[in-house]
Amino acid sequence: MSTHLRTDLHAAIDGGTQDSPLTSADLLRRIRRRRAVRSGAQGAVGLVAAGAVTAGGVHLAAGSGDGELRPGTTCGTDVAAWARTHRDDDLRVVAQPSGREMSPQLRSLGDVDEGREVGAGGPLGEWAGRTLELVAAHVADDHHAPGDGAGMRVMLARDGEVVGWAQNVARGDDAASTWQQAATVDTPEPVVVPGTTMLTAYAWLDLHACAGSDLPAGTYDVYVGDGPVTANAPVADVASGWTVDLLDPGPAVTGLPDDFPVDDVPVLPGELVAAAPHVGGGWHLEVRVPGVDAHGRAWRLLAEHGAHADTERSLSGYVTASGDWTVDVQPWDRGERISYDVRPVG
Amino acid sequence: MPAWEQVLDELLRTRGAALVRYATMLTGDSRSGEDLVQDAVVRCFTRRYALREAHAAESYVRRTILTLFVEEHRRRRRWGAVQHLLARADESPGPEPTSSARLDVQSAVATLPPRQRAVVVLRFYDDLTVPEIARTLGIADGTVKRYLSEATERLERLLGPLQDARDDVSLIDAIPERSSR
Repeated sequence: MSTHLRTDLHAAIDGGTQDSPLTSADLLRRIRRRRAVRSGAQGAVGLVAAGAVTAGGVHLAAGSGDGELRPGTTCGTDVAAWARTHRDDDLRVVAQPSGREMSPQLRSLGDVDEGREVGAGGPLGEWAGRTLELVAAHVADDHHAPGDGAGMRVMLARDGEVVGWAQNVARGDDAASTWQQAATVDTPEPVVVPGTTMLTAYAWLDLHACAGSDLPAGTYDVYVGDGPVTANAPVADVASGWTVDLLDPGPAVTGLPDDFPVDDVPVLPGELVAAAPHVGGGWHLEVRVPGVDAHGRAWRLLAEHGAHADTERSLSGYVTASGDWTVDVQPWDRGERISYDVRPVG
Repeated sequence: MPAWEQVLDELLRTRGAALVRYATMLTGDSRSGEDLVQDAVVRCFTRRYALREAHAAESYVRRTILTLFVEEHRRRRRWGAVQHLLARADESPGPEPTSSARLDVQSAVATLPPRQRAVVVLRFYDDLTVPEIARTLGIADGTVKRYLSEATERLERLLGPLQDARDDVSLIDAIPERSSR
């Protein structure tokens, strides 16, 4: 029997019971409250604060409250020695850059590969930016339950000494990240590590250099302290065994179309691979960019230049600060490139 | 009672269930669908637009449902598919179907990946053109066609022949793409 998709979709949506599961009472309360807030918020800024990106609300604007987040006793610490005597054997960390499919490591958390449990050390990839996007996993216990704040301190070290750090602060309701119950890709059941349940937390972590303004390119040993950290709290137990490669971002992109709005639509440094105009105005660009974090970096750069979500003028992307262009950035070619889709508003 | 509250009341009373079914078709489960509709309604009615009658309000709410769905999907992509790791909440039963044919279509569409689902709903329920769908979702015309073709194949494995969908795919394949790469 042949199905008529159009007819059946309309019947599925428009037919049937008129009993709405929605109650106007609840919605009225939310709407009235928001209307009151909007009335009082004179001169409210855009939906995304400059310097931050609303990707789960876990981004810490780099350099905010300079000195407030400096963890005091961490910089210069012989973290290698500390890790030997204060070892966290239950923490797993994998890289999960935005815009990419779930990493194979994330899919196989808890599995054993070549004698080592996945996530218990290993390379975290090459990053051209200075913001790491990591997933931490921990067995559920008294200090790790779904919904608990997931604090995390990442320390980069050379020769055992901390030379850089990042921190995801958890303060109860203000937690930048919380532990979530993990499940496999194929089933809704939690990942089970023998006798335990695994939890995951995701964080964007801005790296700070202990000396100088930026961490230079190179390979670093990575140590991770888990727990609800507060600013300046000393390091507790740490897990170790990871490395990370920080890259130089490379030269600015060249060869953009003459009339491309570079000030409104900043493009990541890289190699321009393709630039095609749209018939209705705008362009499609493809840029080859180093590092696994190209997608996240592209969005952060746009946000820093005032791009913001605007559902009035763009259903699919972001609107630039000038209000003239919508921008959509997507990974391309398995993440080897970044595509920019720029179109005029309206 | 302010005019907007009357409009809201009428909208929920007459089209609330349909909006939830629309959102459920996009999200794949009824709880997410309800949440999506609630968020869309709050967003629309908070903005003080002159929503003078329920029919116009419904169009606006449905458009906002789609916007929120696209935004949420984009956020999930930016999180690197971490959402796949979240334990799925127990799914509450969806709206009671009045015919087995409707349950089959709804269930079948729910098996599609999010973007294919969105493309199917936009094409076969909202009757948008390929360029309109491409612009809405921020993807290329060719990608829309590919999604429609793949979705049709998947749905046919579950529902049997879909002649209108097949004819539609053939028709749009014959149309040159709007933009070049």
